Amino acid sequence: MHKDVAVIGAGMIKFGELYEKSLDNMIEDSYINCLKSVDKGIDPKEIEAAWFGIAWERSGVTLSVPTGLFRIPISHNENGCATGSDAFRNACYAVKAGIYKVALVCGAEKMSDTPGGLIGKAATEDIWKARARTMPAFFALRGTRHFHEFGSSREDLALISVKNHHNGSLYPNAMYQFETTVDAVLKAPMVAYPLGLLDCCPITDGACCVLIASADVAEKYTDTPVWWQGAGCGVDSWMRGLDEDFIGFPATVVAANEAYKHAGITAKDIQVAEVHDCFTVTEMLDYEDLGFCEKGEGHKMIEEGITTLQGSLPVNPSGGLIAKGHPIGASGVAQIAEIYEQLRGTAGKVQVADAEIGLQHNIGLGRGATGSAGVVNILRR
Amino acid sequence: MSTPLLYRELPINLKLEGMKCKECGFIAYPEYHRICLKCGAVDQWEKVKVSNKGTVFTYIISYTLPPVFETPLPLAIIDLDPPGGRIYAISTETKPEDMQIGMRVELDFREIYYSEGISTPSFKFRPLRE
Repeated sequence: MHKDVAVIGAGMIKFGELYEKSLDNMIEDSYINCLKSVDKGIDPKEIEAAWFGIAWERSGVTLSVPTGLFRIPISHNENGCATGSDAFRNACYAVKAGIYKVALVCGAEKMSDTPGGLIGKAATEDIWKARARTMPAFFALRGTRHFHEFGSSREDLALISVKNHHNGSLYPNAMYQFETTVDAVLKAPMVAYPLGLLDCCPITDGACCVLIASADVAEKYTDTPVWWQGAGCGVDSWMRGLDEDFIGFPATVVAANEAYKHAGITAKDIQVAEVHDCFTVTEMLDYEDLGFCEKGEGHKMIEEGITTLQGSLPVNPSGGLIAKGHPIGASGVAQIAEIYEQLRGTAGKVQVADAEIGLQHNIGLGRGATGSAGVVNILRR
Repeated sequence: MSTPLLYRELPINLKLEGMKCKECGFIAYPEYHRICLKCGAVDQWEKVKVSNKGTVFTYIISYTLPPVFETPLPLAIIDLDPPGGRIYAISTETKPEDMQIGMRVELDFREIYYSEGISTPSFKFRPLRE
């Protein structure tokens, strides 16, 4: 077990369509919640550096204004939907390297009242790379192929939506707090066959902050830190990297293998996970790509209830992106925050039993929805 | 859409022409590069005409698109007949219920969409008429 980088605090805001809040308001609120969450308190002057994950803004200055963190190094980190988890990953490397003792990671995104928008642009602005290539399309292409090769189905995907909405109904910071049924998921309006509306995550505003510290100062802030064990990152494209089979995301496999190697564990050691479920099909493929099961067996994990809150490997106890919401830059950081709470035993109604090792994962798009970027972080108490 | 970008991408929109790597044989279509996307060889490309026929590898049916597209619209990843190559294309004259993996299709030169005063023509797929 590695004990060199500790998560010492985490704070977020309730995700949603937050028309009453600006980007600055959201960052400020999550930052204050994060400072307050530190068991023994923290003076902001002790924060030596910060990493800012956001997809539609530029530069670290955007983080400094709402936090009052001036004259310290702040880097802006962007890596598609893996933006937040990559910001966390890079911050951990810097602390592990001994450069900084205390660092802040903030992820935020204002999506609801932003003109234009990623999905519209992906569809029309870039002629060749874009031709109607939308986010749902990129992921749905894998669904059709997985159905064809392994006999999975829309009903399997619906079970993932039902599970994540159930978890979200118990999670106070989730955007959607309603339950749904397989029947409702199957009858929802189609978005991109095989994905219907309830197979999709929403457009969301949100922000989340976490604080990390080096081993020599961690106990100044808490007696129950959660230790970062390692991370991985991989990028890929079907035009043309490894991603030619359309039955998963090789970028996730690369990221997971690197993270497991750094952590000195295998997929079998993971006891709770927050994984990328921008669409239900993504979560099914994640099970396989992260090594929770063999390739082609992902749908059996949900059929057998393994990934429910009471299952042997609960996945997305927070409701995932489908119920909690998916404010791009904030999503990965909020997943880290949830794993932190789960491992400390402070996850409230969605607490899973006795988890010691947890995994966080995002998969993001790039190049006009022809490629992907995956990031995995592993935490341990 | 910027004018330089439009002109830069004209060849790949108007021609079924890809690049074949002399080192590994990989056919890159529709992207042009100096470095082979498959094996990393530098400046080993030669132009190659790709087939206008192929087989659907996977597909979706899109119901939610900007107004320049008619929906529901089948979209597919198509493996082209020899010499090879892979294309992502939207369909024309294709019923959503007819879509299946393995179906034979051909590429047809059509308007992809009309937006901001510019008509963008390129290749759409439709079921192969044997």
